[in-house]
Amino acid sequence: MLMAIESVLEVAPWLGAVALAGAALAVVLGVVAALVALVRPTLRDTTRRVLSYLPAAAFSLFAVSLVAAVERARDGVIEVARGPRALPTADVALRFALNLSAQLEALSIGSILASIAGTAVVLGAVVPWMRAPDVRAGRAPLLAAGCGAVSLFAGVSLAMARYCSVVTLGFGAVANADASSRDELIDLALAEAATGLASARAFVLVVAILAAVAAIVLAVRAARRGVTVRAPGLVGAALVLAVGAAAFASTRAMSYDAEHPLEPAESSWFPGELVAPELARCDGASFAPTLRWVQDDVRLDNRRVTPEQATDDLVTLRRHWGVLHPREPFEGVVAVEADARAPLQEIAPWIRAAHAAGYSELSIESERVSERETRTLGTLERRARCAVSVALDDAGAPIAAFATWQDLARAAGAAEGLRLAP
Amino acid sequence: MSGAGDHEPTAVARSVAAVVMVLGGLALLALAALDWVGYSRFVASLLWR
Repeated sequence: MLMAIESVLEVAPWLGAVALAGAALAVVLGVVAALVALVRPTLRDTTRRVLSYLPAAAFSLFAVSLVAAVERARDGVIEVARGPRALPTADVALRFALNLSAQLEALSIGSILASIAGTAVVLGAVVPWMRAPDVRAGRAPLLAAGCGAVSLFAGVSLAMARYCSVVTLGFGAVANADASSRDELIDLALAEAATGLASARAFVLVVAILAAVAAIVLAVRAARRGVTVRAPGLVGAALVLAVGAAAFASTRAMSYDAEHPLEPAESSWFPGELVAPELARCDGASFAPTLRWVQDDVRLDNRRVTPEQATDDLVTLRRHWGVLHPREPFEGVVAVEADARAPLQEIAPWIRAAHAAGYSELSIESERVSERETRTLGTLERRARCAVSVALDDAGAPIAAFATWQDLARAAGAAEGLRLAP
Repeated sequence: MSGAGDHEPTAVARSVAAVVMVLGGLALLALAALDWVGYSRFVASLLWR
């Protein structure tokens, strides 16, 4: 709960404060409404109605502000995903995901509290009904519908709470997992949570049908005794149906995309100004130290290095590989990310450094661009990692045979088993 | 009596219509809320893939 509060306040402090105040108010007003009905059964109808509507108004304030907070968080994620090429690190992505699930948890906890408030209000309607049998027939259908509504509400809230717990637990496990298994664990957590929502949908349909049957039977009996729904009541009922139908229609695209999330693909690194080399195929190694070559800023696993430092670092990495990466066998591969136009002679010192450190294979990193249709965000451009391997062998082709990084990539893609003499 | 009987089918129809509309609307709203929550699965897939 504390994490839920913190995350809501982190995304939008004033939205979070309003949301939590609304939830607390809904509970307090609901309980007050029930107590007043218990203590003063002869209260005027208008007063009773006002007391009943107040918790609903407070809950609406809570729901609207918290939904706004969640939408803001989601918009932030979508903006990052569609924005400039620099993708967030895995830690930032995890933080976003945890924030989102914690906000939803806050929403579900507030909904449960509002269900308590709603139940109190409905009970407040039951008490005068029990004490005044002459209005029993008129109140009965309303009571059945009210019980149905509260059950629906409670069911949805519990489903949301369970969804958020599963997602939060799953993401918690992901935070401690190897980078190579993160995608799979997140997939599992979200798929399990989606199963819970499917059960909740079935629950909603069953409760709605049962409540409708009970309310219809009671309404028919009341109508036969002369108690009927007046025009304003019908208009109000039509409005509820219209709002529900509009909400349902507006979430069809969301439902479809949720059923078809993006498939796993390793993300590529190539900021806008750099040109990724074109590769004829994608079969490079998937887990290796990465040398990122940019003119005057060469980095090995994000640490700026000279060729000599690169050799030392790679030797150290090789010696401690089993401890650092217990689940990944050492294969002697160095991944190189470089602009296609870069002269191979300028990258050569680092290739030689890797060879000197005992690495026997180069992975030429690139990306494959594809398009994905979605119903909520239109066409998304996806850039997935693509790589080919080149063996480092003194008997291989000389570096001088290739003018640019693209030339080497082209040759490596054209024929498997290309060897390069460092 | 016959007058009261003539009004009865209308009263029943109105009561049934009101119940169906209210509970139908609430059920659709509940389903929409669940789909809204579930959309987070797609949003999360944007970052992780």
